[in-house]
Amino acid sequence: MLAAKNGDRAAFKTLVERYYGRIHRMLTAVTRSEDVALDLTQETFVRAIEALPDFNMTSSFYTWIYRIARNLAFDRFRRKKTAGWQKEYDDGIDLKVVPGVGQTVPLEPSRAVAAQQSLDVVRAALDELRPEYREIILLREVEDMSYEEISETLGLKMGTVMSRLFQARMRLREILEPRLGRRL
Amino acid sequence: MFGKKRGMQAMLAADRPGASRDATPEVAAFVALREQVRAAEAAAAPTPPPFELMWTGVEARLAANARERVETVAKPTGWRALLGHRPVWVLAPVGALVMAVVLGYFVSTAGSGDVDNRCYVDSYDAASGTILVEQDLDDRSGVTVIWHLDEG
Repeated sequence: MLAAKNGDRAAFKTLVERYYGRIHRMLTAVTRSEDVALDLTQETFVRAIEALPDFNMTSSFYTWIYRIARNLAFDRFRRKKTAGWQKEYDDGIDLKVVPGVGQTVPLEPSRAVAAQQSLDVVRAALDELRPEYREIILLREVEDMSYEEISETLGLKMGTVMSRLFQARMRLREILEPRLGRRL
Repeated sequence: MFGKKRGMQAMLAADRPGASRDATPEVAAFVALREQVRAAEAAAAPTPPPFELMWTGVEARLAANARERVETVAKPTGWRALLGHRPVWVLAPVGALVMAVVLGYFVSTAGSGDVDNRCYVDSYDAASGTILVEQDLDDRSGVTVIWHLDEG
């Protein structure tokens, strides 16, 4: 880390190699577009290299770099604000039809199909959440971050993290229950 | 659904390590939700692009940014951009010309703006209030404005 901070490009490349998959996955989850995620992942590391001399190492490298990535993502989201990421970036390009969305009718009898449908319904419900809600759920459930880590990453107070996470989960439940046809 | 306080307690309990569906229904609901989200995201987890492809893009952008910075530094702004490599004194004739135009304008328009701003106002006290009659001498339409000031 120190070598990278002191301008060692090879050391920085090693750091990037360690974290880019994770950053790309989170950006894909937040933006719902692999192309946008790749673009933002590259831009994240460009900004990181340029800002590395200012990195004070009070937080972990991942937290710092994730913060750059999410700022870029939310900046772009604000600039091209529409109904959401999916519509914004993927309109007309291989939009996936999500079976069961908006319906309360029973799912297919085959359990495997039903399970797949259920996953699609959950993803579709996540897509409908506000980006801030989707992000905090993904940080907690997918990245497995603790409240403290989320607080540090998002620059929020612990109370705000808990409250936002609670609201996000309640909203997700509210969307999901009628679609899955059962209580969660 | 449950109240916010109970819900929050259940969420905190569900987020503790080892929380399971065997706990209270409220806690179990959060655990179930987590399992659903994890399963859904894992099923659709993207394969990261090849590292070298990603890194090539990063290096290309860094090079482009560096070029842009060099151009920005080299590019003069303000008076320097206007003058290029010419000395500052070349602006003197331009300044003299501007001053001549401004002075010429003032000289040519002096005295031409003798507008009569006078107007006559009469007033009458009526039972219902004051009546003001106003006639603007400069108004060629000869309009008379009558004001009724209701002081009530």
